[in-house]
Amino acid sequence: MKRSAIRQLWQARWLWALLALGAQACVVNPVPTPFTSGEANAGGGASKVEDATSAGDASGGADTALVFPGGTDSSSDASAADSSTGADSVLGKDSSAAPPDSIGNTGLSQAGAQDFGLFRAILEAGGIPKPATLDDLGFFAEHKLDYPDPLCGQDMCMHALLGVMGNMITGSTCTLVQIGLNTPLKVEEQTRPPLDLVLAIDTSTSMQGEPIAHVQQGLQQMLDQLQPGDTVSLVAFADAAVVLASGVPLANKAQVEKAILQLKAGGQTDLFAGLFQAFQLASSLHQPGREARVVLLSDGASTTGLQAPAKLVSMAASYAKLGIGLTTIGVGGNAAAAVLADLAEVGAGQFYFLDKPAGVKEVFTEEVKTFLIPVALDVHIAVKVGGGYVLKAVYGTHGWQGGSDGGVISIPTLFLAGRLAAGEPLPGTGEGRRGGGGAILIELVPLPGVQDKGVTELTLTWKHPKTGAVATQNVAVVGALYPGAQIPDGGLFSSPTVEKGFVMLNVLAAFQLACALALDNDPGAAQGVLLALQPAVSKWLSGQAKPDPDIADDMKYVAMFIANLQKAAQQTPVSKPPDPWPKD
Amino acid sequence: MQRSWLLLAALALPACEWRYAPQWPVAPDGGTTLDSPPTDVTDGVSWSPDGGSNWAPDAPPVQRNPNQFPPIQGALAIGNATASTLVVRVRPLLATVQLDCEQVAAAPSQWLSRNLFAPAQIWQVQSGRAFAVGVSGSKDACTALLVDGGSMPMALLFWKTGSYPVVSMPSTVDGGLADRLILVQNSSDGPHLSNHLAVHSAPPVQPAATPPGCAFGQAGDALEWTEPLPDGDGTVLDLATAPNGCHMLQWLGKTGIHTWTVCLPPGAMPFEPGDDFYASPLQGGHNLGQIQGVDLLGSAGKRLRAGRGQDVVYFGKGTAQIAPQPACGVGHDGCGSALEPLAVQVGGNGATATLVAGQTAAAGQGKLGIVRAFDVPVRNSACAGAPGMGRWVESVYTEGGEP
Repeated sequence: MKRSAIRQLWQARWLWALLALGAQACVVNPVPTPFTSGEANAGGGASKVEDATSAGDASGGADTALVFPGGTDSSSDASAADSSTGADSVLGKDSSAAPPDSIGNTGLSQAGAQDFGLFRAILEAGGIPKPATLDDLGFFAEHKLDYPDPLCGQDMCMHALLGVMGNMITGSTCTLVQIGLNTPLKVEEQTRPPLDLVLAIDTSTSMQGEPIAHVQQGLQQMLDQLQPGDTVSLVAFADAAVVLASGVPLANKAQVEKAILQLKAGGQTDLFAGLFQAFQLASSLHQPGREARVVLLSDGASTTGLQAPAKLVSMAASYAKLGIGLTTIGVGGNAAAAVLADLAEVGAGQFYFLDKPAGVKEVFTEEVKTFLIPVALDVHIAVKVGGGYVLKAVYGTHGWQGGSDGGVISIPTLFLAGRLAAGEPLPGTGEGRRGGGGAILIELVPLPGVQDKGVTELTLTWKHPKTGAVATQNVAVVGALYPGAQIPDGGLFSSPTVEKGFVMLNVLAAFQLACALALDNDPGAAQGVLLALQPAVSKWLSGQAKPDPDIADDMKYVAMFIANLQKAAQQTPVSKPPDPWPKD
Repeated sequence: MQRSWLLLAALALPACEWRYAPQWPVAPDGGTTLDSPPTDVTDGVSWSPDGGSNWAPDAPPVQRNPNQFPPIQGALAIGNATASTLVVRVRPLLATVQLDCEQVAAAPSQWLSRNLFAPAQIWQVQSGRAFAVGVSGSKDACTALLVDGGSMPMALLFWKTGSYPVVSMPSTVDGGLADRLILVQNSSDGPHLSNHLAVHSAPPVQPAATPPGCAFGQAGDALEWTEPLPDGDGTVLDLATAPNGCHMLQWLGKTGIHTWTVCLPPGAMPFEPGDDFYASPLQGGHNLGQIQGVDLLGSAGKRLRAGRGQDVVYFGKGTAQIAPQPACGVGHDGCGSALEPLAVQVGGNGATATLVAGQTAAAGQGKLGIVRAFDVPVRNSACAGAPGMGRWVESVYTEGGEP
């Protein structure tokens, strides 16, 4: 719905007149505007009242109440459907109390794309990306959003934040609910079950030289991140799939290293055979109490064997149901990025796009710390829209199903996200933006005149990956103003996090619009979109005490996109009816 | 206040209206970026940026002498009957798209979807001028174009080539052939295309979902195999199976050891290691329709017939009638191909069963399963695995093996 919604808006050009009439000035205020409290309406049966004193107060666990003060309904309820989870102990907890020092605040990332590397690579090469190269899930995952401490008493907490503001492209007012998920678990303290890791490595001709060397180095370094009880299997695939190591205990590290050095590139790419063989191995090793995961690395599309991508995807989905996950890595611009992203998403894993082979080492040494640790399975967020709003689009997930009144967001798996704070890149790398965790954004249209401040009711259900227990949380979001009411200049934000989410969505929308316009041979209009965005975002950045590194990096690509479009504009033909006959 | 009314009203609200009205929406003729609007010195009408909110009142278009301008060649012409210069985008079908023109003509807005169309060609059209579409005299039996521009909503042009042979027409809105001229006119809602037999509603942004129960089978369910197919006498040496029904079958034949990958519905493979078989290509379907596939006749009463094409695989005595599923309309795959769900009515021994994609029933001496079944009046061959035009049935007939 999300991509088509933007497209639909663009194509419904008769609305432009309305836009001109209804547009409001859009200057995002770097300082969130406080809300007043005590104006809540009937909620959704929530039982725990949270602090609601001011917007932007991210301390003390005043998460769901950040913006929507008031009262009895701006609340969060965490309870366990399975008493074995013990999550109901949160009931009655004073959420405004300072969190214990021992608690972590780690973001969670969804299965699927973890970056927008392909989009970046195309821009860096001077090209103009097509709309399909920009995945909102991957784009958001490169943005670290700092949520309030996770004090819900469960291993995963849901936060719902409200923002009402004028957008940064046209100034038209947006009403957004930002859903964030985090965990008190700390990456460095996590233990996981013993792992049976199966590596499926593309050794086709295109991997010759530097790429295969980087893969070998990365794999060897990755061994240091594994644990003594783990096993490693290695499948090389080119014209066919070959098993180089099968369930070798890490204790026999030398044998694994020897297998890694046996990787030699040459031949075509039989992606299906490689994945099939890897899953067969993982399935044969899979035992209760152990985790099995396939990591697939490839630099190109299938050129031999069974080449129907849909069959790869259905195979990955069928193994995910048996508890065998799949993480995918695409290397270089020829990688079948869309297929690899789909595979990871249905395979309860993550997809990484690496524009340079050297990035393999980063994924194998840093990301491996998190992509092996699922925090939640079978995650569902039921969204019920308040009577004064209509749901228009949902961004940052591929799992939305629903309509204008609400629906359900389904996420197969959530993993720990590696980055600890918005101002910091991935630990250890000094440059990576992956591991941000991202957000899910719900765009709402207010129905003016409705005297109902209820915005949304969210119900989270999820399954614990270790215990299998199912837990639930409820959050009701109530606004301070009635739907469609005049908002102050600068908009209303519940916290700096939702403000960043809003800016992030603006950049995404501008990128998507610019891609679509460029595809329509209209680079001038595409430039116009980005040029309209640029000053508003720059102003927001300059208003930050510490400029956000994610958004600042986004702006580098906005500028690059504009420069590429300027070149394209000089080559774009515009037809005209024939000129008059030359005068005699 | 009724929520339904409010919902309708909300659709007209801008919400996070991302659309941006660029000051000058297109690059100018000649390919340089404009700093100011160009002026058409030819007729004295200045360029007016097409921003949607700046439409001039409905002034009559500039009157021109048709003889002043050279004629144009095409099937139809689109003329600017507004007082402003317009930017019109014309999107042709992708080169990879094939149409069953007779079928599509019945409901072009339903059968065609937006992702079948290529990037737009942009026309800068002065008031009173016209340009041609269908210029080349398509070798196809029909032509489809998506047309929009600035604040003009998208519309679909569809016509059979024989209805409008290429002719010479004036490149103005005056003095032309009335049945060949489609005008862009202003109204209170902004510009729109005039009524014409070739003008249809644009396909919806989101194609309508196929009604429940109208299964035609998804790409992930498809019957797939690698070439070459097994042929002649063989013995199954090894069989590896994935939970989605894909198998890697290693077999020993007269020329050595071979590996065959085949994806069937889960549980449909009757063979196991050690089984002998005789493999032969399918020569035709149950109704002698064209079909491709393989027949593996095994020892111990096992058999696998897997085929795809215009017919179901042969299953012995009985009848098989293939027809559209009633009240199902049309669905679209991810590439925009239009698929009309089909059902197979199987008769025999005084009983009948109607099978749609994903269903199995007893037939002959074994079981007949329909994997996917649909008619393809619109095909985009750009997608891997896109079926051919016309009827497409994937079916499996098995005897023996585990249920």
